[in-house]
Amino acid sequence: MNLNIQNTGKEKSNLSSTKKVELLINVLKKRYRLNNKTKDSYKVLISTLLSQRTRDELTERVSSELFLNYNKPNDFISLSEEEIASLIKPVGFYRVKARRIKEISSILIEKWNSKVPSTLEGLLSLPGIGRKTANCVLAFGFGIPALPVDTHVHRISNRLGLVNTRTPYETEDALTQIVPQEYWGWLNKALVEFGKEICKPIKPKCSQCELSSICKFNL
Amino acid sequence: MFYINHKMIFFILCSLLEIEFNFTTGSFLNNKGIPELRIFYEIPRNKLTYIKSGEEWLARFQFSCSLVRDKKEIGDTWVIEDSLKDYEATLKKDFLKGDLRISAPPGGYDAKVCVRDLNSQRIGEQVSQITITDLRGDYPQQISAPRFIDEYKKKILSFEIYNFSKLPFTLNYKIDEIEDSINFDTQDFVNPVLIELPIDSLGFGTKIITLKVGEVQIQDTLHIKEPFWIKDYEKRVKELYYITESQEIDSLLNVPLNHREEQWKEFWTRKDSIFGTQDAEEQYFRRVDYAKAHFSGMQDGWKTDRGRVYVKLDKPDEVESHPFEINEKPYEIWYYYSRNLKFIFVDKLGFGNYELEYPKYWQGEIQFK
Repeated sequence: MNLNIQNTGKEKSNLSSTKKVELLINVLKKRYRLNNKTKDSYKVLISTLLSQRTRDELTERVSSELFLNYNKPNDFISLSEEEIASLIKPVGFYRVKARRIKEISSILIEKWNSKVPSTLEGLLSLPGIGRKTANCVLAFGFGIPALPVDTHVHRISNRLGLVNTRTPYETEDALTQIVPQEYWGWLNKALVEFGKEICKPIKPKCSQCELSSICKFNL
Repeated sequence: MFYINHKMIFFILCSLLEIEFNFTTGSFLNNKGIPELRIFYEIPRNKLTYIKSGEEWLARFQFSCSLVRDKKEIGDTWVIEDSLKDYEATLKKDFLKGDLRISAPPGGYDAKVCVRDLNSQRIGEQVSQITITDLRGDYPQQISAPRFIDEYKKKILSFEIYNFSKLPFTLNYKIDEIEDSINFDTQDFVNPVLIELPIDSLGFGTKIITLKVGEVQIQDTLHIKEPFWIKDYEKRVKELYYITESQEIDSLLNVPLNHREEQWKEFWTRKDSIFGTQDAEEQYFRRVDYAKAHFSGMQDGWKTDRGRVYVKLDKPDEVESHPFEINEKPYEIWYYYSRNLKFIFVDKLGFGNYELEYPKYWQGEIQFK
């Protein structure tokens, strides 16, 4: 084969997943500040529960207002489900979530001495608490290394070829093997922001993305 | 005196083997509105030569594309590297995928595409006729040709909309019977779109996909293959030989078509609970498919002695291969250190059918991770 054309010396690299993670962290660090401060674990638990299928801005507003007067398990025990529902009403599935808050609060009082459990197993034993919420509480409420995987983290990790997974659970498993532990919690927050600003589900902003060279869509 | 041994012949033959690769092309516009050809390539990773580089394994190849029209040639070359973390990944049959772009005037071309592995110097070459469509025109928006991208058990429809007017617009799309629309209020010229196709609800067969922005409408088709329980069911059920009894294989073979999916899922849920796994089906057929790809000869790879051990125990921790020993038949030693097992396979007839020599009558149970 003898092609009569000049080699322009263009080089492209398909990085290994470890190198891609390094690049991702560097790009995200420039965009989003690294903050590992923890918050009150009960507040993290309740606000993450409220955030399910609800826009972040709305969750933030409702949680802030709610926590002004109610921020401990005991505070919710004295309220009826209807009263809790009316306090959180703008969020999605507020009736179900009100029931969950009341159930969780009474379990915490009865079984956990009014404290939020600081283990994955303990958190998963609470009604309505799935893996993502449990990991959020561990990471942001206790500062324990955990990598919460939501739809943004799952989508972006697959688009960038960091992982090749079907479910968020598989993504968590795969990511924890290649992402340094110190970045687990932060990576969730950074990728959520990145997913809302740049790597959107349907209309990604590829021209503004510094990671397009490693993206399998590369538009 | 010129001396050539078996190993040298092996390497010479390897270097003569062509690099396999596939490519497709599509017409796009770059962010300045200039027509460009995008070449989407895929190369099986196990056909590239990876060499150790620091902590990683590195393949390097040159990709060249030449477009010829009226004795004029436009072209480009790229040097592409692929790094992998571990050696096992270099043997996988998955594809290294990527895309390359060439700016070229619209029209028809004779395209010649060449891949040269820079580690082994092996080359692969393909020629085809391609057309670069002019997407610039009188319309306020234009749509690039759509592509279907496979993600893990998902299919994504990918295309770009070029907004010449910089005014808000709406994309209407129809996938078989499903219709929807997306509003764009951006002033960006290039608007990438990624739509996850609802494969599960689409059914099988050829589906028509229509994309419409203003007066511009394009159509494409997507063929959704029948799942294996319609086409390859019997073959797959027979391959369950190492994980279940023959009575159960017979009973699965007799399941009517409309109950196969449900019975199959029930079978693997049961196996998962027995073996304490979540993906026994995936692990099992990955091994069966590997055995078929690597040990097949006179009989199906999974039925051979090496296939049997591989399917039951997965990949060995180490393989000692002796294909060209003097005064000895070719043999392989497989080590499973964690299970304290060693297997010796001998190719007694020299046709590649390695028979288990030690332990002679091994009947171990299947193991999962």
